[in-house]
Amino acid sequence: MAFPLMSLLVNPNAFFSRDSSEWESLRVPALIVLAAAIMAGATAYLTTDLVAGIMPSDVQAYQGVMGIVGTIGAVVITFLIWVVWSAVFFVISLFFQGQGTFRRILAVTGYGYLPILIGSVISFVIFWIFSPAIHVSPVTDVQEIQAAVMALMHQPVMILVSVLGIIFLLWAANIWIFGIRYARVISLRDAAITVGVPVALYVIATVWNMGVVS
Amino acid sequence: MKAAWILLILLASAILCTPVAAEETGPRLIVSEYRLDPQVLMKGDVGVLTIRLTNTGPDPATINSARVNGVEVTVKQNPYTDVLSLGSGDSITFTYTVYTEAPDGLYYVKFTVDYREGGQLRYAIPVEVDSTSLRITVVETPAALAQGMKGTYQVVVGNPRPNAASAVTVTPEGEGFVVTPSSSFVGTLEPDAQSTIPFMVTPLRQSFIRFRVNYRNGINAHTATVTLPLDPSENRFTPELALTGIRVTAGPGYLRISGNVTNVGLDDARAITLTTGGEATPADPFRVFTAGVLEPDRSTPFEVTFRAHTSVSRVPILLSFKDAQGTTYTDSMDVEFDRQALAEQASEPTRFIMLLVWMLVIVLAAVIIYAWRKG
Repeated sequence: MAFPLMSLLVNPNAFFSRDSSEWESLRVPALIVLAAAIMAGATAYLTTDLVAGIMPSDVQAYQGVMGIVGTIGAVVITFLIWVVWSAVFFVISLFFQGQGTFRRILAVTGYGYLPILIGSVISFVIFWIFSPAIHVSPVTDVQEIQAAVMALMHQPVMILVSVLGIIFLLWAANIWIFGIRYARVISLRDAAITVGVPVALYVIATVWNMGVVS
Repeated sequence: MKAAWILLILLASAILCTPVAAEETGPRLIVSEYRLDPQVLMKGDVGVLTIRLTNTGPDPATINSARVNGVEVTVKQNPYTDVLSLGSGDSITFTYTVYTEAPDGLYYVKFTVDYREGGQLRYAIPVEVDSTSLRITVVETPAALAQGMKGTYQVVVGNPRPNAASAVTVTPEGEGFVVTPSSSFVGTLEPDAQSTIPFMVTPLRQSFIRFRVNYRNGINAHTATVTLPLDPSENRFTPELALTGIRVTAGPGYLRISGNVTNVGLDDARAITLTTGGEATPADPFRVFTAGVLEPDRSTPFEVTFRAHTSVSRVPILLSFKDAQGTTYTDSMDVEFDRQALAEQASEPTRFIMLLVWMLVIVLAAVIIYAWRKG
């Protein structure tokens, strides 16, 4: 049976309402997260190139190393975040007498990374097109680095990438809600709270960092 | 007795000083024709004198020798010293080589024939010496003598001599210029005739140009020259490009310099190319701008695109163009811009992308509504 991709994206309730043995395997979710991690690594490499331009000239000599570290770091962090999201959902769902195992939550959360993967590809293309035109100036004082990074993050293309990230995260949250519902055997309302609260906090924090809310 | 001697000397002098003319002392021989080639000698020339002797008497005539003598015009050789017999009505031709170092003037050489029976035929032949040379004149030069710019020199060769000059050739000489043709053959130039020859000269540096006319007067080679200075100034008739209305804008992933390129020179600019140099890297879609012929006072819009490091806020535009002669000119012009402002403009999402974002939001909303209705 082919992987019901459209069902997962558009009608997650139908996807997860099937027998749990059809979706609780971690193989497919891990592959989705791996793909998303690779795209995150590629975007991180481009970002490191920009950030390196901010650093003092003596630090810029390590730009190549910074790129590699940034790429590997992004891949590892993507997997960590996958686990963190799952843990958060697991803990919150405890308040609603959730019964499923943590492994099932990992699978559900991994499936939810499919929209995030799509968003990562789009963000990478946009970033790859626009990043060469982004202006950064090397700082002379280490204390200026934070301000320079903030200025970089406020570039229109960076804000656009963040907005895209929020949109696809909301899409993922939609999948997570239905997934958690079946993974933890709780009501749709409880699943919405389980997923909605941390996701809402994450979105608020992201918007805050973008400087739209201050 | 002394008076008799004086009378005898006077009588002998009178005989020797008799005017040069055919003298009938026995056989009736006459100089029927003579010719000098060239007709008019120049100082230092060698000429060929041909004399035709005819026996107009009823009896044969025998001569011991025939010779030519002169003072200003000398004979290089007198080869006719053998006894010759000339029948009635017959003719014989004598050829002598004459030479002169005399100044301009009319001189005579004396042709003398000794009869075997005694007596002589003496005949005076006029020889004209005129050392006037051919005249070579530059009647037209380029209005502006510019380095690397071709100009026309009109050279006139005239013949003020009383006789024709042959094998006339005009050749430009010197260094520091290119000239076409390298030589021009005129041929024979009749008296008071002239010929005009154009030469296309391209001066390369300050020097002199000499126009030399070589010609022959008979068998004698002669030459005349005229020399002109070649002092090319800076070429005022070159194309010159100016960039106006420069505007720097940002595109997706590149910066764009646009404006107008105007030919402010006095000659056509050809094969125009513009691109960015220095720390800028030409980028698609307009790595290089090219244009064909741009006439003076005409302008055309241009556009070049490039990428540069974020710290670069000044890039040179490199211009290259050619003039009608194919000489390549290069120039550059620095363009400064506010990189920060451009960066924000460059990273500003286009309307198309913003449209996609909104479409994405709508799709997501539809998906969520659909999912919740199904759920």
